[in-house]
Amino acid sequence: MVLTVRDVTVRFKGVTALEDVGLDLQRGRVHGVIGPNGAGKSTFVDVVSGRRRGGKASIVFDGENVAGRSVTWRRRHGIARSFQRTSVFPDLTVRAHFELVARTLRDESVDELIDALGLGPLLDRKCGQVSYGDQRRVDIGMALVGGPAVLLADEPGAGLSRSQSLELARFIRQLARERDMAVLYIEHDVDAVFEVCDDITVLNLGRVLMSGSPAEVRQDNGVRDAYLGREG
Amino acid sequence: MTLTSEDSMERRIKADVGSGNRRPGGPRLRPMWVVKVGLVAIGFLVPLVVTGPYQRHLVVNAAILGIFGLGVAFLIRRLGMVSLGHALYFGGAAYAFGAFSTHGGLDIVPALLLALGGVVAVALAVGSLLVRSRGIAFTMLTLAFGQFVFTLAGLTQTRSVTGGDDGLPVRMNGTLLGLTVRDFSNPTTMWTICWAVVTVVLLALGLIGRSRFGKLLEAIRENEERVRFNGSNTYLPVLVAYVVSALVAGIAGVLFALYNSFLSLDVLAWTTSGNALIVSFIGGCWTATGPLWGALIYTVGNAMLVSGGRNEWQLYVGVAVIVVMVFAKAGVVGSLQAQWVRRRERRQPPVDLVRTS
Repeated sequence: MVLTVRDVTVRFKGVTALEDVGLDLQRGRVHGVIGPNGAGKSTFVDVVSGRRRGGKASIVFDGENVAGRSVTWRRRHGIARSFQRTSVFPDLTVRAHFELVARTLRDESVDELIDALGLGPLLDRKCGQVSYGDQRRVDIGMALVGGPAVLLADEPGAGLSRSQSLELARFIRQLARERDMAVLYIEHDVDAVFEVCDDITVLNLGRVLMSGSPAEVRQDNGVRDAYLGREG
Repeated sequence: MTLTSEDSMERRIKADVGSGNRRPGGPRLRPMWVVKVGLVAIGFLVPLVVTGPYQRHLVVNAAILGIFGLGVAFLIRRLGMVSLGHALYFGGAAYAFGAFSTHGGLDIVPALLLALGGVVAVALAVGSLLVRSRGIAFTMLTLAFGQFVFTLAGLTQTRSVTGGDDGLPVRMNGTLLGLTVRDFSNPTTMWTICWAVVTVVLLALGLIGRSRFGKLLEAIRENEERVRFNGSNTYLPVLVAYVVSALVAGIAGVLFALYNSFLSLDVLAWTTSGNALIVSFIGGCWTATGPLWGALIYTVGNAMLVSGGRNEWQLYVGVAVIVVMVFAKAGVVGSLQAQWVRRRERRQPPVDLVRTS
């Protein structure tokens, strides 16, 4: 396991958002997290990425508990994250986005990543002037600079068409395989999750409802009742 | 695997358009550089046009205030942080220079270097506390620090150094580039010095803006959290930017002391910080030269209205700020620039097919 998360508990003014949630991420595999709105998916990513403290959570990355480490430290040591809401810098060119991260993380192979993302023709455009889909690519691209060991992808397909979202999901799976990277993949598009994920954890009301392979999750009655529906 | 969108045709068009729209730098930038060098050269000739001693005095004051404004606007432009306490560095540098010269008996050069070194040291110390905050909290803390020093400078215990309410006549020793105190009080000579400083400051701030550091500051301004998630520390770059901004304000303060040879506590007051802020907004703090033009408008406007017997100067300043904020939010220069860009775009055929959804 490259990342083992245990006992993540988050409470907002008495309301429990997450209760003892945990999962394991392995290199080269995509681990999906699904669940209805308010299940705590993004809060979970916030805790793993360092944006939020997770109570007595233990986040063991390459043998070290990094629960007390800053987001900057985690990123520099290989835990990257992309955001549900596109978080690019509108006045900077696409090139500047990649240059900033590449310099910080001393990654000299960023051109290859830019080509893979299909962003080459847009390099000299300001990010605020490119399409939303391209901004999503830049957002994910920044998270991939430096070859992180773990990518926390928080709804990377948000705002994209279904086919674009699926294409992006396949691309992320391909990257996980090629770069031996562990991916935590949060997505509302259940079809995309079942297609690209090797393992799936289902959250409901802040608790783990079920964890297993896509086939196991799909056939679980509890999951069908709570989230997928009997037809699902 | 390469990621492609559904609209690969559009992407190809984008590629073509993109390559056509790129600014390779060389051929398109050169004329701008010629214009800029020309403007710098013309700037040195201002005393040939502005012939009256009082008018020259006004443009020197405008240049000093403009440099101060450049320092304040740097922080706004690069980080969106508004300081109401930069008089601490403007007045602080002026008083430090005055004290080193008058009480310490130092020559102009060492006094000047020590004053600016002191500004950097104080900015590092104060900034290390201030730059953790953002928005209104930052502005109020800068105001608090500025007022703290202003009050400190007026205390009986510090009177021997600052002169208190009586002010501090600055007794300068030695020369700077062969210039003596008599030269510094000459508006024509001082204009040349100020213009040279303006040029250097503009060049330095421009280089910083274009550097990787400048882009990092811009990224922090737009989304600091994202920058941290990119693995970059944001505290140190903001602190360095704060120190740069303070140093520019300090340079303006030393020029003020050199020119006036007399300092009063006003140079440390929050209204002095406010003046720098006002000229930045009037001229346009999002443009490179906006604060300079803002300072010229402010200084000349002040002189015209006061000499016309209308002492409600602050009333007119208030009206001017309201007019600019309502009708030209980017400031006078910023709005003119935006208009020029819009006009140029209208003349060009619409070739940009990139979606902006």
